[in-house]
Amino acid sequence: MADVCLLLEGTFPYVSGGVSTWIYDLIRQMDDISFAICYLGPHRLAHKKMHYEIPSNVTDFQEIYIFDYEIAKKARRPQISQKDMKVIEDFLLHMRKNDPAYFDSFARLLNGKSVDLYDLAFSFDSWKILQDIYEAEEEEPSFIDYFWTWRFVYLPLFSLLKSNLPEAKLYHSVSTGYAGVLGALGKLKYQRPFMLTEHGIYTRERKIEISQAEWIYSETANEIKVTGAKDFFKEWWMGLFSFFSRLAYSRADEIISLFEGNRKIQIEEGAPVSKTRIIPNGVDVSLFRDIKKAQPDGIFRIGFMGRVVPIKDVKTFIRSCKIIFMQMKNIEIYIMGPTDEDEEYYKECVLLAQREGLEQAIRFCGKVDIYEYYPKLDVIVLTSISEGQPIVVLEAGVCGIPVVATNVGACEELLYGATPDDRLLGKSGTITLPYDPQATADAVMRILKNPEAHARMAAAGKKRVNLYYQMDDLVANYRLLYAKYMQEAKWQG
Amino acid sequence: MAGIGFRIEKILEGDTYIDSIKAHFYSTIIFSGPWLVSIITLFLLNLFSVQNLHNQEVAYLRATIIYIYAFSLIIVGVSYLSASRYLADKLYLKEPESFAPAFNSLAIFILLIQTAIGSFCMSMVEVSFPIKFMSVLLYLTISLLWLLMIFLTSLRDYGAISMAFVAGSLVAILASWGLGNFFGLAGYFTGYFIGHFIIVILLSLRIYLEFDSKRFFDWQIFPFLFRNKTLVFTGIFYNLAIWIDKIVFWSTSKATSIVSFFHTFPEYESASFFAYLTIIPALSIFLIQVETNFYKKYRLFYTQVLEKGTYSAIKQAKQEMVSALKNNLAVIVVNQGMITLLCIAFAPKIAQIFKLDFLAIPVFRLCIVGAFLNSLLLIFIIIILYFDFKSLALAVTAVFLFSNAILTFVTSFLELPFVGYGYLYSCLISLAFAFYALDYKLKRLEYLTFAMQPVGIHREEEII
Repeated sequence: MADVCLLLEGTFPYVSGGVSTWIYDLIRQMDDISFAICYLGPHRLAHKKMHYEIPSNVTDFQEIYIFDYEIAKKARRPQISQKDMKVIEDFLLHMRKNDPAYFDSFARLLNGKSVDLYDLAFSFDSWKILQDIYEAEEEEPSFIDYFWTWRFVYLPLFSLLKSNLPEAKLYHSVSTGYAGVLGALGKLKYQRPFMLTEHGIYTRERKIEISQAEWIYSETANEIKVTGAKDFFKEWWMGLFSFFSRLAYSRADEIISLFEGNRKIQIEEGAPVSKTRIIPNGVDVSLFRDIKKAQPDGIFRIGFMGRVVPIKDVKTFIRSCKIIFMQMKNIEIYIMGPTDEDEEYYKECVLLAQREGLEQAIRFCGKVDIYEYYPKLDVIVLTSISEGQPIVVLEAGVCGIPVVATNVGACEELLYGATPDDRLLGKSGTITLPYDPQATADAVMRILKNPEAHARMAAAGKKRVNLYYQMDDLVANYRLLYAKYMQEAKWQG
Repeated sequence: MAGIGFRIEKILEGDTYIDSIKAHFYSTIIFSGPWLVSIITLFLLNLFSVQNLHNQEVAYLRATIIYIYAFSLIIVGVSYLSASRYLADKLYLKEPESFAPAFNSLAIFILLIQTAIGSFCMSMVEVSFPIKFMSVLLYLTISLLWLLMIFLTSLRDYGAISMAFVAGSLVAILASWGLGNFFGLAGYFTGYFIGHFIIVILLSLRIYLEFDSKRFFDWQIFPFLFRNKTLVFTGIFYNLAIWIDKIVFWSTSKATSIVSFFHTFPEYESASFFAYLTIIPALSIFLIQVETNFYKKYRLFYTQVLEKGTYSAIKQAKQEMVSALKNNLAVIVVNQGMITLLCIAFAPKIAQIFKLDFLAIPVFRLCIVGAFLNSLLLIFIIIILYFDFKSLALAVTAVFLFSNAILTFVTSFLELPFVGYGYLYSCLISLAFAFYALDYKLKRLEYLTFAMQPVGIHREEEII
């Protein structure tokens, strides 16, 4: 049996990024603890490759693909008993009201043998449940859409609850969502504690994605707004994710966020205050010790470090580069981060750069060796719509690179300071509003044109990271928590 | 379009598929047209042949022609529902050029089987070679004729079909009589063959002219038949079921032997054939009713399903469709019921006109009632196929086949008037089964329409 079962949705080891690196570091730093990993992804893709090697203390590795569930055709007639129907219906009715109270009996039923996916998808009994719940809705939406949404929403969830989780002393989920559901299942099934760490806020991120699903077709490419008019089916999806979070919060023994802002949101979304705590991100400062700043050569280098995906709003960054480029010709722009996660979006970004006449100035570098690129950079820009506590800002701090970032997630406290003491260290960058290329461009140019300010920010960043965001502190915190929960032999729920 | 089945999409796609699906159902009914012509021809031949043939020869001619009809209909029944479904799909895919190749391939297949069966049977019969030879030719021609009907119903050129039949049948009667004067029985077979061969030629020309094609064969149709075994067996079972009572009687002591294994039971056969003629009105009324009434509601139901109707709108549409169906059936039952009652009342008169044996009148009356139930049964099977409940259609035809075989066997031990009860009760049992099964399915129609959809058809816009 592994010590800790990590429940990872769409991150390590298949997706690179801040959270994945955080997980990778955590596993490697605790080489005396054995980990089982349960990776959750939407679909199995043949060409998908691992972005990280799997450390040797990972003793079990399982992959679950949420939308790749299979329903075995049975020779018998699909059916569900009256008793089981009641359990399912109670759960689903309360789920639509964002109430996880009936989860346990439902999860036990699904994880058992009496009902399988074939019954849930095809039986007349499950059809009756669907009808009942449709009739309990406040409005009467298009039935065919209701039916298909039902299948898309519930069949993956049902299938997930049937999965065979590895047994472990402790379940640690690094997001709510489907991973959080598995955490709740692990806790229920094996009577072991469940820890939850959230980098971003899952519910909020999904909401942005869902509203963007419409925005893709809209002409106003500049704005991302949750539409005013309520869309029943989008609301349903959002409600689902909101429910997942509420379920995870209600079942978790420990709810960890990276900074105060996120802790507040978790509480708003239903996390009990007493279970919440903050453990900020950290960087291993020693790794950056040998970095030498490149000699100035009259060219300013602006870096964007992050995956090329809509949530990072690369397009706003490109637009701001256009504004800078109109005033300063001696700039080079590096967009550093994997481009294969959302290839459609990547193509749009390349097209936008061409249309703005920046093809000479902008380089899409893909995933890079940060130790090679950080020394060259004069300023790092983040235009994200949503962030947790971006590692890139911490790394920029260590390397003495000022940052221009949008006021999302923990960016403001990372650049201006979180506590009064921290604030005394001074600003290590500039905060702007999202979707504001002009403000971003102005902030970048102010830093580039003022070497003194640049130096002040660089020094403040270095001090701040050294004082508050060390990897060693992060690892020590988790080590304590793991030790506490792994030892709770007879856990009392 | 949303991932609801290909078939339903096709229903709403437009009129091509509808036309061909309807044609598919019409083909069932339109078969009664040639059947009518055949029975009349047979009847006229009976009248004429007495003048220039011996009694024994008349009986032989009659028996052979009945056997030819029976076994050609049963064997061609293999392709009867399945091939018309194949053609419907081809029409939907706008590939009518595959009609002629599909016909050629099936024709080759049918001709091979029928040549084997026909030659084997005729080799057992002690008649002269010219008669054997012409009988096999006639058997093949009539088989091709049924096959052509499947293809022609998609054309819906009923005028041309009727013309070909009337012309061919006239030739058949005149040539039979004329040649019979000189060559006796062999002349009759030759004349009958010539008449039907003319029909086959005229109808095939119609197909080749309408569906010009570069290919000569389309072997794709065989894997299709194999995949649609349910439809293949439904076709066989139905055609076998409406003949099995005759076949059972032929094998019992009630039948008289003509030559070797050619047995006939004229008191029953004639009653049965002429009773079929009384249900033509029911089938015509059904055609008109479906067109004007039921079909609109049927389409409306699927429109509600696909065009984002609410559940109550879908249920409402289903209720309307079901009550339209009930009304249509009521109209058929009332009208055909009156016709059937009149026929029962005037049975002796009708028997007189058609020169039926006086003794057969009670049997004739039972067969008229049986045929009435049979017409309703056929209509139910068509409706069942309308909703694509293929396995139910198979079950109904299987019930019909086995009940008819068993009950007929039981009645073969009874006195003459009672022999009609086997078919009658078989139709009644099958009809009751079809009625309750369809009713049960229609009550769950929404469930069957939605929940039976395969999982895993992902709609792009829903994946986030």
